Amino acid sequence: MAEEAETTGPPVASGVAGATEDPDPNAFHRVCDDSLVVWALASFHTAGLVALLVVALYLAGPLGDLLSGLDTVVGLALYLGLWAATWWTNRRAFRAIADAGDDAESVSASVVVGTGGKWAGVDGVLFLWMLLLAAVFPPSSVTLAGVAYFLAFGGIASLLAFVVGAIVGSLFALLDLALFRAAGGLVPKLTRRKHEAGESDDTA
Amino acid sequence: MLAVRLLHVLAMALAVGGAVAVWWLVRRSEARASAVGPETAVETAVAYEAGFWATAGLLVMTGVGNLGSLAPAVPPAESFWGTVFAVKLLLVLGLLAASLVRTLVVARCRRANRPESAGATRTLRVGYGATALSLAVLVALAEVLAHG
Repeated sequence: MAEEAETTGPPVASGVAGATEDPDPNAFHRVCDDSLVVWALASFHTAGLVALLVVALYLAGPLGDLLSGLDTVVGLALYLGLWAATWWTNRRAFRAIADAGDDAESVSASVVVGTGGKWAGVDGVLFLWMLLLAAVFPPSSVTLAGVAYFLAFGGIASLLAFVVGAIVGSLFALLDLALFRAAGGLVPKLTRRKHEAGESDDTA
Repeated sequence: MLAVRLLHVLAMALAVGGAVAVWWLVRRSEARASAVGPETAVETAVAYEAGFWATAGLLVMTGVGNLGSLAPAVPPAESFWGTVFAVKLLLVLGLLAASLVRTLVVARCRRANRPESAGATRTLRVGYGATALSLAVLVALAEVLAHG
């Protein structure tokens, strides 16, 4: 599939006779099926977000108090949960971006940022539910009134979590776009010959 | 928690050791008549990238866990410890962003089934060298934070 994606999209003419250049082989919509890229982005988003939060909380002051109130096992479980949810939502976002089109015109930066923001909003809601789940465990003290409270609170908080997640996700999508462009500038553009019978597509 | 610290150290050892190993392989692949071909170097780099992001996630996760062992007495940002800690976190953020670029370059080389040119190979070599150096600096900063 990855090699198949390589040959999609409109190539542009290069200076080499009989050859074409792929303008942006690492564009979002062309790496949607690359599990390494999805895994890297999901891990980058999770680790980057947590590191940013630690920096902000440390500089603001309350990091020590927050960490002292957090059980280590619960903290690790929440991190792993966020990581898994981010991987899943990143996969879905990539798939949605690929479905939007196979050329740079239909997959503009706004499509990437909008789709990334939407799925990051879903990620935010999933993480909120994990937080609520962690808050009600151990379940021995759970009452019917408590469950009703959590359902009502969770419903309202989910909307807020979606908005916050979407904003954070949109900012990350902008950063991703910049990093994709930086990577594109570091490797020579793919030059390939026009397809002829019996010939390979790629030429270095 | 001892297990968290052990995981942290093991993850960092894998990240540093892997970066040095891939840097060496890419460097070998540039030499003429080398037994290590560019394809082998790229395949190894792909494997390292998958592992790198697993270790990066683990390092941040266990790093926060290690910080929790100091809580609530985390030294203030104005202290020497706080300055070193802030520098370390900023380096972590920079390394994560740069590593995503490195991964995309490796993915690009894999999709082409080979590094397309000497320029791509040089980019990989510089990328892995810089990664190894950055991780070594992070280890040194961690030593300063742990032992002063």
